[in-house]
Amino acid sequence: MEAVSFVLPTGHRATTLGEFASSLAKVGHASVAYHLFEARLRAAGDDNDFSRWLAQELDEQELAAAIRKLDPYTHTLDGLRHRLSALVAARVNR
Amino acid sequence: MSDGLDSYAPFVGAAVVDEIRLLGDQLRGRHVQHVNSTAVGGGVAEILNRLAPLLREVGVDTRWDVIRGGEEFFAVTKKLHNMLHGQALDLTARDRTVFEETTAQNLETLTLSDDIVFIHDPQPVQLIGARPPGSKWLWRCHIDLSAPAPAAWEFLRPWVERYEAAVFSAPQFARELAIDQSLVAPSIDPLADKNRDLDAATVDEVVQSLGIDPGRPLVTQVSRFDRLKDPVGVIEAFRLARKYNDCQLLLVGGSATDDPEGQQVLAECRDRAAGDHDIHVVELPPTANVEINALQRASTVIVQKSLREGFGLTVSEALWKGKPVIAGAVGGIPLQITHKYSGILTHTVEGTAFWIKQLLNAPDFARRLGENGREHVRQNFLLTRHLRDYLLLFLYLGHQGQSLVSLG
Repeated sequence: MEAVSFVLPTGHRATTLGEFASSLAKVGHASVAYHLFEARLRAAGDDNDFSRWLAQELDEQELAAAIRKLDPYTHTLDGLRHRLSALVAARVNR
Repeated sequence: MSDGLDSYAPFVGAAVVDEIRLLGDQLRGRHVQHVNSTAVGGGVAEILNRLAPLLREVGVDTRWDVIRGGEEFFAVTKKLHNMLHGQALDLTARDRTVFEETTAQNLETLTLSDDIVFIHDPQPVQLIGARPPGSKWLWRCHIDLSAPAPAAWEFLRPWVERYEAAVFSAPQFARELAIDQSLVAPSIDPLADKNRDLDAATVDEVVQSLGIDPGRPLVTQVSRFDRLKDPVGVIEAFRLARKYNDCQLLLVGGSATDDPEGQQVLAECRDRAAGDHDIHVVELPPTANVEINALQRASTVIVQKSLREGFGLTVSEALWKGKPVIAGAVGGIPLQITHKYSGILTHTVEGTAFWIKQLLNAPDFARRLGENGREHVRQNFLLTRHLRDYLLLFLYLGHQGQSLVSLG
């Protein structure tokens, strides 16, 4: 049994936290799964794409750490998206 | 039906539709040719009728051809079908000749695609003998190949193994093959008459036309009058449950005038139900999709007490209406129902009776099962998931052997 992943640009781009929040609401489950689940298998470091980007590009260390702590195996993909959105919204509104 | 892809967004979300369009963009202009053996009737034609226009809409140049054959050919393919389902019959030299000759006759008129050819089921399997250079071929098996008669499988296997990949509906229906295999479950169309939303007046009208009391709980099984659907077992289960609950039973199925055994089973059900005003045995024409939809929506509990089953999409149809479903744990049904989460799986008449009683007495639990079941179907068994899987399959044909493919 093996899986084949196809990766293609969705057209959703974010350069700020606000754009990130808006894109999170629009992308499909596959995008969330790719950046949270597959990233850990793909990257040399055991990190997800969102946390890495938030820490490195926006210097959002606290938010990156909170997302890193999410256990993707205990949520549905919808649930994960809601948790992510809530974490980002809390940071934006702080 | 003229519903385009955007009509599905209210059910699955705009993101799913966007993803499908993105995948379609990657295949824009590619030619895909589906070939099967019937243009109307049956699940394969039904699904191709909906999928082909949607594939075209997202940019895949899709055509659909149907092979022709005489009575003798279809008698052979029917026999082959029965053998693949395990019947111990014999495939004669004459049968093989008829099959090969019909393939040859079809090849005289068929123009085969130079990109992707998607062959459905055994009837057109030998067309691959005329594969144009450079084209990719998929064999889609819609039937259960878990225990075929060896002669049938040995006839089919060498042809199947000439394809790039074989596609099965569920892991338990597949066989070991020397080629790649992919799993694509079938789907239901939320916009079809069988599944679309209905107003209360339409539902009431259908219910009353059949003499069903709309004020009392209704337990329903929708299926052909076939022993493998165990309608008599449903009557027995209903009678056990009725000792403790006021309820009515509806057994409703498509007309079976061309099926002598179906007529016999129907007569047996009527005989068992004779004189019992709480049991309704109804035969409807195969086109009565709105009526079936209405009856499912009017039901309190839906039963699918199959003893053997293919994928069993009637379960998804019932779950899509948010109904609690009690179904036999056979074929593809356990893929659609997780026991006590999105429905109930049973193995016996007594178990079915127990759960009918439980669900009639615990409406909150029954409602939660129905809600979870509908959500499971929304995520996994709607036409859009089927469409996306086919697009991914077509993309995969250009990237066999790779585990990560970056596009765009």
